[in-house]
Amino acid sequence: MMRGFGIRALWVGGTLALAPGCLSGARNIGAATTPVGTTEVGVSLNALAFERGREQAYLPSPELSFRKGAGDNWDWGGRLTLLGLELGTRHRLIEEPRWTWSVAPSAGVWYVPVTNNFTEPVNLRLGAQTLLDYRLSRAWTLTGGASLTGAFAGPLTAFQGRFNGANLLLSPGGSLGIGFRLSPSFEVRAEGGLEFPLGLRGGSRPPTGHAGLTFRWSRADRR
Amino acid sequence: MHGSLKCNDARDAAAEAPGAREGVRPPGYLQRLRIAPPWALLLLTFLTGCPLAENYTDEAGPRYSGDHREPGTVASEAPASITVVTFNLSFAEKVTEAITALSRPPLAGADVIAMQEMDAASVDRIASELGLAYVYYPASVQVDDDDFGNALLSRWPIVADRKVHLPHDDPYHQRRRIAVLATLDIGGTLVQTASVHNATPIVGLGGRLDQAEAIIDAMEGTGPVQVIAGDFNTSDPGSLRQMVKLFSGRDFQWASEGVGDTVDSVIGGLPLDFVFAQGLAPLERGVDRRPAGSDHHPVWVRFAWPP
Repeated sequence: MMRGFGIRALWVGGTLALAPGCLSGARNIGAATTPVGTTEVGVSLNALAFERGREQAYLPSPELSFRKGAGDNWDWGGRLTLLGLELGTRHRLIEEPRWTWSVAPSAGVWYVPVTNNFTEPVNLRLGAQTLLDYRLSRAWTLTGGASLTGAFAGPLTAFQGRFNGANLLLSPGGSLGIGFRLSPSFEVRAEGGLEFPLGLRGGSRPPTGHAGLTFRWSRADRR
Repeated sequence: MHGSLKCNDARDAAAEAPGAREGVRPPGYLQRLRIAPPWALLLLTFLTGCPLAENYTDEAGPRYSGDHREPGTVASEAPASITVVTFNLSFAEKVTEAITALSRPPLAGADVIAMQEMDAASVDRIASELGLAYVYYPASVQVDDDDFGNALLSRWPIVADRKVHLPHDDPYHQRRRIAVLATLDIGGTLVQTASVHNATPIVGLGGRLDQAEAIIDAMEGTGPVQVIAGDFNTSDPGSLRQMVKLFSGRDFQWASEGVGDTVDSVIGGLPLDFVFAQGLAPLERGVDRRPAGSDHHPVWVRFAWPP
């Protein structure tokens, strides 16, 4: 019995250790851009739903993120896992007293041994998200998002020119989040979202999803 | 179960890079050295990938067969039961131990033996020692330059056979997996058999389920009595349950259900080797855990006969 427990514990431990090698669609941002001269750093604790075999599976996935104000209406930033990096910009298009509308293009490279269901541990993603913030009060902000991401998903041998097992995917998706500002420099954000991957060969795949909490701190840059 | 270690070549090459032996370093070098290697190795791995496997992509071959059954000893009447064994011999390195194991109860006298990780010479030797007919197809060349493939050995005539290429080559070496299918004539009844070696969990579970389904599809409609046996590489959590569910959904019975773990590994016992059957009623089943020349243990099932 102890041996069985030990094996299970080893599996769980190993899975958690590799959890950063998961493909995650969680962006965990709102529409409001980071002000110039300010840097935001976030820690996210997400749960991922993904295709495993012919069923859905669920895994925890921690992520780090950052944003840096670059102009009056735009910032740049990214999110980082042990085996994945996504970088992008966010552009504020419309700002009204109650709401803000932005678009956020991004590009990422991911090595995903854990959530790979076939032979595609390497993922290169290029996409954009449109975000709409609706401010419920000074502290609470509701964020709706819609995204469209194109991805190359393939084997490591793609770097040698061997593409057997590679796929091109198009993933429309949506997210809903709510942010609560605890102080001018600290925000907590909850977000859930879905993506609906479509293989350009092989048709649709089961949806993937995420839900999680993000803790985000901001601070003025030193001059 | 075994993975190639060739990916380590990239790490070795990086460690022995010419720059690593230079004597003069600019300021800050040591700090960069501590940070750079993991990312440099990851980048190197991404850019170079792993050495590619040499697969046998031909649809029909190479094919090896033989018949070492002694004339006159072949049963002409239908038996009271038939025994099916599946055994992954771990690169066929310890053939003598395997022959010893297959020559003692409960494996002795097996009617069908499905073997994996074999090369042609080892299959022929085992068939010769045990007095069996066989068919063998290699799938690829292994790291030790020996062939790596599946075999079916039988006390009964093999009247037809073929190789089935499985989908989803592994994403690091593009190593191909196959199944070997054979039709046996057991006392006038045709039995469809398959020796299977699915990819390791390097290929995601969806890919390995596709591999199993490709074998079921290949055997569909070939006859009412079918046995699919082999190493399904279901070591990752949940994969065994989904594999059994796939076979059950296609009217196969998990004939070796309940035998327990079939491999000893560093993380403990793993259930990887199975026998699935259609049109046959299992009477007994088990795993022979005595040393047999492999990290896998032979799994056996005795079926009632006639079907």
